[in-house]
Amino acid sequence: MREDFDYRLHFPADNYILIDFGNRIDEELNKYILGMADVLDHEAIIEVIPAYSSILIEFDTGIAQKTELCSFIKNIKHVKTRAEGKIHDIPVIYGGEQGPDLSFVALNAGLTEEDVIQIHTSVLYRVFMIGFLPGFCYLGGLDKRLETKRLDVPRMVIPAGSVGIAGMQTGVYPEKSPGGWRIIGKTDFKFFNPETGTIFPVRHGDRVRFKAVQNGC
Amino acid sequence: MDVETFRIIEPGIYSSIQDGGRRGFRKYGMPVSGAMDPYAFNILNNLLGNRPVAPAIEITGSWFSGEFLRDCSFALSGANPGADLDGLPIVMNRVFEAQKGNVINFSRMHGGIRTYLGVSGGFVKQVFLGSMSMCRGERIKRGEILFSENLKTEPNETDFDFSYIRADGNYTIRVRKGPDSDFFDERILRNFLNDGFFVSRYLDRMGVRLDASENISGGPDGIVTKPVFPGCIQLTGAGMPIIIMNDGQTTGGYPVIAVVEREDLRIAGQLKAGDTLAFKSV
Repeated sequence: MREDFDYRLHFPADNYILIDFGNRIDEELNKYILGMADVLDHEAIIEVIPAYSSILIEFDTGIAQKTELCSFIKNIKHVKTRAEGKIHDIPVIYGGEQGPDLSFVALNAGLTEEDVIQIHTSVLYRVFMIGFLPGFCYLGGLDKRLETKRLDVPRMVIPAGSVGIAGMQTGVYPEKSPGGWRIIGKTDFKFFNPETGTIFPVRHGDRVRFKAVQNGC
Repeated sequence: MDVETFRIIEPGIYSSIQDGGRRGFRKYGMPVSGAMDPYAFNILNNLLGNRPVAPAIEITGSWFSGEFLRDCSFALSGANPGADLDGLPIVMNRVFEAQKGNVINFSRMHGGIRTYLGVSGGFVKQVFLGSMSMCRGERIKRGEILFSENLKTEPNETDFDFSYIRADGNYTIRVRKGPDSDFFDERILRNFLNDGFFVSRYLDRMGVRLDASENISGGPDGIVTKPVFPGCIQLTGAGMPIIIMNDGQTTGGYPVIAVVEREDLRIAGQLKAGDTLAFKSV
């Protein structure tokens, strides 16, 4: 049995508790956090929002007080990390109009555009957390060679499905949004799909694999 | 059964249907939404004898008019927009009987920015992820016909106090330490609580941005992204405080210097450009 991770409890509002595991990104910790989120099951808890290294809880102050929830949380021991999730294949058209920053990312890395595509498609990225926009997945695992700083001036509109790089992160804009990520391609895969029964097809702990396609996905 | 109740003649700057909000999907990045002034929204439904979170129209500013398409009881709560019904003044927080064809008109705000228009039974919209709240920029359009539940309710006597909405636009909001407060140095924490701020014109249902100040610039960088919620006050490196509101992002990378006390969220929901704001630690 593995050790439990240490955390601090914050009370940022009367109806919120933040379980804070420190300011870091670590796959083992994140797996533990997802496992802990799975067992945060209490009648007063309204919502559980797991992140890289923290969990936010909203609770109903009419059902339980802070102290009761604190002891409930502290009594959670020997957390089982959440099992690996599904693998999603994401078809991407790289470069051209769909990926206007591919050439910059290549130039910045001293690589060819083909190298960038080959490296970007060779990794199985893990979904650490979801946030910012509905269905926006924070993916871990970007190859260090592709790290590129954000645009100095963000674009007013980035189309839905745009695949981007920002610093050590890569991800897909689930809907049209302003943003400063370097856009290297575009996908038809819908990370936020309100018209179907599976509105959020990708979940925490799932993994994502990009696949280069020529056109139409 | 739902019936045609109200036709929007002029939706104004921004009008939307709001209820108590959308719970359970923030972990997928879906904002909580719901009424920006939860106090006014609650009083409104209480007066009308509705269930506490029956959907109402949230109207921003005083450029609004609409027509009743059937006889029904209605009320206005929140910021006073100087409204009339076919020329007769509408008293805030009082239940009126509208007749088919009556037109409601707003004229001028007397402090605050958000007014709630409710009808007995409550308006209805399609439920999405457990809530009727419109979100992510969805708005009520000119000419749109709104439906409500065909439900006769008994109005209630209710006590209320709207003195938190200030005609002079000078506000104080109570805050507590944020999860990232420890990352800030003394100077910034002190100036944040001692200085006054102006509300910038960049404000909407996602967040309220205040004018940046050198006195609180140069704060910490490189905070690992974590969940945020309505009332969290992020501070950018340039010294701009941003109060996250109901349609705001569910996670954020800017450090949270302080959090608005739950009871004072109603004040944040009534701020408008040019108002002054001071923070007071509890």
